Amino acid sequence: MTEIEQWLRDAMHAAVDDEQPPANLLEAVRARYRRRRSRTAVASAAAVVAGALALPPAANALRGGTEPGPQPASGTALAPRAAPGTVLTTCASEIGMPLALGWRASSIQAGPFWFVNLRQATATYYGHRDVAISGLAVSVRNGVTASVSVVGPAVGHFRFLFRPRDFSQGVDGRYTMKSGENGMTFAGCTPESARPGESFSYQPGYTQFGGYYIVDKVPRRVSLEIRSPAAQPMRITFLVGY
Amino acid sequence: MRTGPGVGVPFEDFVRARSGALFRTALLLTGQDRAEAEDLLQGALERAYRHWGRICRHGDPERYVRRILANASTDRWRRIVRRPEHELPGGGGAVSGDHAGDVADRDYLLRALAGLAPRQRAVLILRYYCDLPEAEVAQALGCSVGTVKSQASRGLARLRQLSGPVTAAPTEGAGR
Repeated sequence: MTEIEQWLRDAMHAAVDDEQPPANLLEAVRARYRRRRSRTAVASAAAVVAGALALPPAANALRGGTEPGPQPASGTALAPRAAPGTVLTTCASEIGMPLALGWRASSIQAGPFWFVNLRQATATYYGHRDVAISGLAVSVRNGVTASVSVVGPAVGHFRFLFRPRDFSQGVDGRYTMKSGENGMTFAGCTPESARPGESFSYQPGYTQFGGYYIVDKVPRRVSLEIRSPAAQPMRITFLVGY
Repeated sequence: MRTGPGVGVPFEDFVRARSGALFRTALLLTGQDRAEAEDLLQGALERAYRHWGRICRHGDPERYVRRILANASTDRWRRIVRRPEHELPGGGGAVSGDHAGDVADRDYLLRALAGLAPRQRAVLILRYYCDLPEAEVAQALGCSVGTVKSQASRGLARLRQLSGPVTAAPTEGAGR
């Protein structure tokens, strides 16, 4: 063992060997477990409600109505819709994520989106998985519905996991490159859609969403196309890896 | 009490027996931020609690929880909320032969450790604090043994660089 290794070992032991865990650790773990269960139940209920809301247009189409098919992302006051080839996630799925000082330096802004800390992406192979996974925080400007899709050579090699059923297993999931979606439409909260007094966002003016992405190998260059109602489509390219 | 089918390791007993060691690992992984370490450990144990039966069937639950800890500490979700790194004071660690100097040197080294990239830090902690062999560190972090070796090498080099005065002229306490 080299000198620096020995020093490091001694220093670490000296620093923490007397430390004890909090006395209420077990109770805290149980409480956390209960909170998670209740959150999961709420998310499931929200998914059922969303499914029910989606039924009328479908039923109308079956009746031969004139309900149009999937529309491009729109920022109007109409109910948000998924852009073609994407899956919609709405204000009901927003989560609050505190942001570290200087988070902008490691994040990418594109159109109405912030891809928070994406420059620090460290997709990780957990065990012997077929894919690497990393958390992904996406913020979209309030009131805007915009989409983001994988384009170019990375299609099929990088996918989003933003629906509860997609990432229910967290980083431990046995995902394949068929999991998740190639594109997502994010609907920012509006005064009508936000739950009164329950906005979770730590980013003023933006709605925060949390999910994951999976990628078949790192490093990989990935291009995303962003479509929003008020601007031309734009592309960003970044390197996933560490 | 939650136990693994046919295994009989109650979760509560495991927590009582092993939470000390796991908490100390969490403390190091979080740069000795006690609140964050508690949160990290709670999260890891909560996840283990959900899958306790399966974990026990596969054997060593501590290895599983340690793996969650290490990966969660490097996960970007944690880095979103992490505090900005503290800058090391200029001039490096003061070198002295007395106890106070020794403590200061250790403190300096640990702060340098906390300033490493999360994955490098995790490799060094698992390797030199938990005394895991390289293969087990690789398994815990989901990477190859080669990656562990290179990350450890780079991490140590960085520590040597950051704490140059400390290791260039070690105090009498060095090499124990």
